[in-house]
Amino acid sequence: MSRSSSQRKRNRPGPGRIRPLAQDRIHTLNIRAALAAVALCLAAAPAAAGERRFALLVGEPEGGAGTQRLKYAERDAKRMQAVLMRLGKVRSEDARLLLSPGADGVRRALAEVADRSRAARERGDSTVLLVYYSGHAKDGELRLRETRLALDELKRLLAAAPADVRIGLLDSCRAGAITRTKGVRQAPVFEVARGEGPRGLVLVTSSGADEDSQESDAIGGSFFTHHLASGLLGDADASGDGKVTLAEAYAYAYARTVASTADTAAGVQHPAYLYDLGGAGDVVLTEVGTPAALVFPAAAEGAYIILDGGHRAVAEVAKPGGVARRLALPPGRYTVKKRLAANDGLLVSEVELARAEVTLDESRMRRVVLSDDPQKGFGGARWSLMGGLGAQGFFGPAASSGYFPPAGLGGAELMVRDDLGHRLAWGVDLALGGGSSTFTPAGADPISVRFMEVSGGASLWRDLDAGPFTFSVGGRLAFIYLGRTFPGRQDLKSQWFFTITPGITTAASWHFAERWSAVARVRGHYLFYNVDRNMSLGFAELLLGVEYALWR
Amino acid sequence: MLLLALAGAGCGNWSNEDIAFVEALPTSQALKVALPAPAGQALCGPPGPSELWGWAKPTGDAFNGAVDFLLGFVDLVKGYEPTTRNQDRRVWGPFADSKHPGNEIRVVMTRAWENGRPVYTYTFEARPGGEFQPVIEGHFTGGSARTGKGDLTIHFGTLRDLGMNETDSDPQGDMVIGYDRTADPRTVSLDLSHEPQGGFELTGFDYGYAGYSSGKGLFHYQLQFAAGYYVVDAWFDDTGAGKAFVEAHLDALPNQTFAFDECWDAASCITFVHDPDGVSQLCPGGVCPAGECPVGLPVGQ
Repeated sequence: MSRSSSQRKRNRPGPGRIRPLAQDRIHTLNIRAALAAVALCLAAAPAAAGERRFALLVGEPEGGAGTQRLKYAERDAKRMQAVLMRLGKVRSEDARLLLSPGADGVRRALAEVADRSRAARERGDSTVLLVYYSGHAKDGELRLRETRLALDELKRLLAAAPADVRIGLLDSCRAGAITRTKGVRQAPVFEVARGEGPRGLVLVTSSGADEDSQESDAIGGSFFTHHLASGLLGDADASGDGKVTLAEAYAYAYARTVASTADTAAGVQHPAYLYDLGGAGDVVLTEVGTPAALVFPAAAEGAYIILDGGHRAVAEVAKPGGVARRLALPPGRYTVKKRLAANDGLLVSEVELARAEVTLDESRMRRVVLSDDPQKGFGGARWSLMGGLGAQGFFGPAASSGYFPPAGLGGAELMVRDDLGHRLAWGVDLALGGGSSTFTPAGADPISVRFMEVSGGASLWRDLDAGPFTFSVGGRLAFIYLGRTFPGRQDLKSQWFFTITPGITTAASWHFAERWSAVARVRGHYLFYNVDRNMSLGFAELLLGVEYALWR
Repeated sequence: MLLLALAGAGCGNWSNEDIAFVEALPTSQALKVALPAPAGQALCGPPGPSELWGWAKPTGDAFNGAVDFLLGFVDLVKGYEPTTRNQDRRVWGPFADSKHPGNEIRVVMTRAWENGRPVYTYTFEARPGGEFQPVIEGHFTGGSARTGKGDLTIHFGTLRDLGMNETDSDPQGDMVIGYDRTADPRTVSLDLSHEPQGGFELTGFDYGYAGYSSGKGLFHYQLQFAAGYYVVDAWFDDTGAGKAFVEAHLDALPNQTFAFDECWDAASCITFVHDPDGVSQLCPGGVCPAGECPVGLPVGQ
């Protein structure tokens, strides 16, 4: 998706369309050369003792009228927060995450963070204030729902903030305009004086002043933030000193963003920057010497993507041979994939990170053909709505003794696929039903019964794709409310029963049109009845309906 | 574990067995007497309308009054859910008796099985405090009061002791009601024979009613008159036409019984009288009406 003049557009490349930049191409980029020179000029200064870092992270998916909701703005902000808190020495109490806050919310939060920074400076600490924004922008303004925050105002606020170093990271369309404003120098080479730490303002934007910024379903985020976060995890540590400086991070994000967007429909996206730093040394954004890390040995070469347990891309590594790379990932289980040069397959390996380094052993990665790529088809959360009609029947003693007669059902289900992970889906459903029957007490005349039912539940299931068909199986926790009356028998009180019932859910769906599928869903549930006596019952539901894809 | 805990959280009153128990309780349909209404104020020739049949309706109403008293307790059960449910036992209450403040009421029903058929026993109990005392006890065999048979005893003495009697005309001791709807005719009996003072505006007597599905029926009752009382077995058809066999008991001759029988038509006009003892006063000058009697009614007593 690109954050265009009207909205940040979504880019939907097919599997593998987002290609890591070839290493030789990286080296051809002038900007990297320029920044590499800068980096050599600077002795990277780690976060000093007595240094305090503050971060304000804003994720705003809505840009008001005329814009399309961004799928990953909030996730981008959360992702940056996690990286900065874990590796960037930002204390949890100093990291402020704002999701869908509106312009005034941003102003207030920035003022609060500035106050905290001022207090820290008064105590003698040096301070760094970082503001990250992921959302819409247009016509020189950040667009937060129906509210606006002018880029000039944001820059003014940042410039005036009481922190030694102020950093603005803007992942939005045409935010590069902020770097053109008067009063701040644009400098490809940092002019710093020796003898004191860095001071001043740095602005980094995800795209140029006339460019769109794009999201990608394949990586589950915006290109810029995805690469920036990957770099901060360690892949941008060009010097190999275990620290990722602002210059390194920018150079890395620039190169990878340009490469990733070169083939997209929205066009190539060039991140931009504005430095107005004085003092000595670059700003170290993250220190990646954590005990737990995934190490790519010097011999490894090529483009790797690292997926977390939910099959979301958490990092990419574009690695030249001859130098090791170290990714400071949090402990967890990961899938590492490497696309083969012949573009006809992948090397895939599962990695369990605990509290120590794990070195990737490429010789032990299994080879899979592209069609079996476990990542294939994962494009982030997909919402859909299903409506259907069906029937419900009880089995066991309940059916034979007339406790719970068969019922007709009609219901709807809201489903979210690939939200919790690749091919993992969840849904919430509600159904109404009822019918009529007779019930015959022992030795007595039959009694007419009219009953109704309301049921609903939450399901979690796994989808298995097979061409135009999708089969799914999972679990469901539901409530069921039953009520019945006895027509013609005013002397008999109406009755009801409510319980929570666990069960399984299965479905088969056939995608017969772009947004439409025909669905047959079968549920089986356990029900514990305990009014007359304790009985373990079972019931099954069959629903036939259609599913409509809402958005993704 | 959480799921199992949640799955055990069922609640409600969805109970087939509650209905089975309630169905065994006496109902208005099972107990009440339904007599064909007299066909208006017809002009009858001599000897005039049948007084016996004319009195049957008020007697039936009084009979039904006794049943209403019982059904008041039954409705109490049907208006509430059981407070205790066991395999073959239900308990309702104790409830505060709103009509008699200070008293509590409880109903206990149990069920046994005989040859695959349920036999219910129920007790309506009351107390102002302390132990519950039974005020109504009954038994019922069958699945539904509409098709089974049962009997019940109302302990009026206990009701009076507890201050729960409706009126001073209520009986003093036990009143037994029996009903049988297992075959045609369905019968209802009201035993007030051991109640010299009677009750519900009835004299002490063993009242009985049998109704056929065809609309025909028999009513066995007692009728007071100035010189004594009649014991009447009155057959009637669905039009109200009928025939009565009457024993006349005269206060002046306590050791003798006189008998006569009479027939009447749908308009309640006497059409036939057989009165060899001349006690009916329906045969002026010794000449009794000798018209038709309804056909299709049982004959003899």
